[in-house]
Amino acid sequence: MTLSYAHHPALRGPMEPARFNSEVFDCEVIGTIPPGLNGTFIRVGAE
Amino acid sequence: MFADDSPFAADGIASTFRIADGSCDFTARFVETPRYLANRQARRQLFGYYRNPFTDDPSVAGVSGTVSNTNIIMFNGKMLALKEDALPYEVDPATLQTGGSYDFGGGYKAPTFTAHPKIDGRTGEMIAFGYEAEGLASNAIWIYTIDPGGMVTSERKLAAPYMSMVHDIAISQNYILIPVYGMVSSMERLHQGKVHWGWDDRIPSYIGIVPRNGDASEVVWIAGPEMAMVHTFSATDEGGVITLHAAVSDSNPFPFFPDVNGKPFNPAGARTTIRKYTFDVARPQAGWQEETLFPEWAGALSRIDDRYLGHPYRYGFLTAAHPHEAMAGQRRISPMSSWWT
Ligand SMILES: [Fe+2]
Repeated sequence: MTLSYAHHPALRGPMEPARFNSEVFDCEVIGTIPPGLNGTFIRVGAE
Repeated sequence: MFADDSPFAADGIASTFRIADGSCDFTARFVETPRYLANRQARRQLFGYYRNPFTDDPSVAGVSGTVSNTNIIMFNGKMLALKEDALPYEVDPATLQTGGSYDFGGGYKAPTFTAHPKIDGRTGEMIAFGYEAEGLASNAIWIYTIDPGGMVTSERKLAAPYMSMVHDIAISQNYILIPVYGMVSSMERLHQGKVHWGWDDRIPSYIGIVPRNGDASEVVWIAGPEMAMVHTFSATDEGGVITLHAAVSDSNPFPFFPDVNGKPFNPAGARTTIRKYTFDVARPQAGWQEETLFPEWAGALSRIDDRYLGHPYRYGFLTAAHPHEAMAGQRRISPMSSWWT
């Protein structure tokens, strides 16, 4: 957890760990969310 | 993590995009597994190579090293973060706070649970399994059916031809298909302090076929050449003939799981393509028929629309790359015919 991942070949670019829990209220939306779209997209990934 | 370890060893983080009334709220939170909590308390990484407890720090002997990073599902009102070397971890869908590990009220007895359980798109029945079910490097695969209310309705204990990674299975209307291929482990290699998996190109691959409503003793193992079937699309059957679609490579797809005999990694053998297999359940000795459907595309992480699991389907989805690079990305393919968008 406190290691530097800077030189790990598999953890670069888009795979670079973010390392924080987060909450974003009312995300910026590019375009428009279709009316009637109501639900949750859930995902899990390796950090 | 060691610099040469598998990226599969990294901690899982769950996130939700909650969309309603034209707005979207986002939450992300680490799954607080015993490993995550132990590392956090120590402020250092106490766990060694991917799924090798013999390389862990002595202070965490007996502490699960699972990372809950592979898949997350909703089932019977519960959100479950999945990693194939342990039970699911329950996560609160609203807050993403981690509950405990979950064994379906005690009905699920295997110590491991696949990251890709199949939920029949029409009946809601879950077909799940655990491999290495009788301990590290064991060839035991235990299969469970679980009703939509979360009750375990059957348990079947299988012995695979050899111990291997079983990351994904497929279900058709009447059968469960279990790929076994040369991604192997052993107590010997774990005691040697190596990463869990190594690739053995000298052993045949197998597809195990079990009737969805049959006994474990009815399993048929059909042998084939070296290959790796990490993910399937899905399968259908008619008159005892099964058709399976999967994303398959000829050899080891993962450079971070080295060859057990020290052969260098072969990128050509790692190329994963969309393939169609047919099996005649009554004639296992005949092997299988294999066809590569879109030879120019290389792709992985195959799946179908979950609503069609266990039933006929027209489309498959995967992340794929084409020699004309501009066309790479998420793709929908129609394995039943032969076109893509
Ligand atoms: Fe997967």
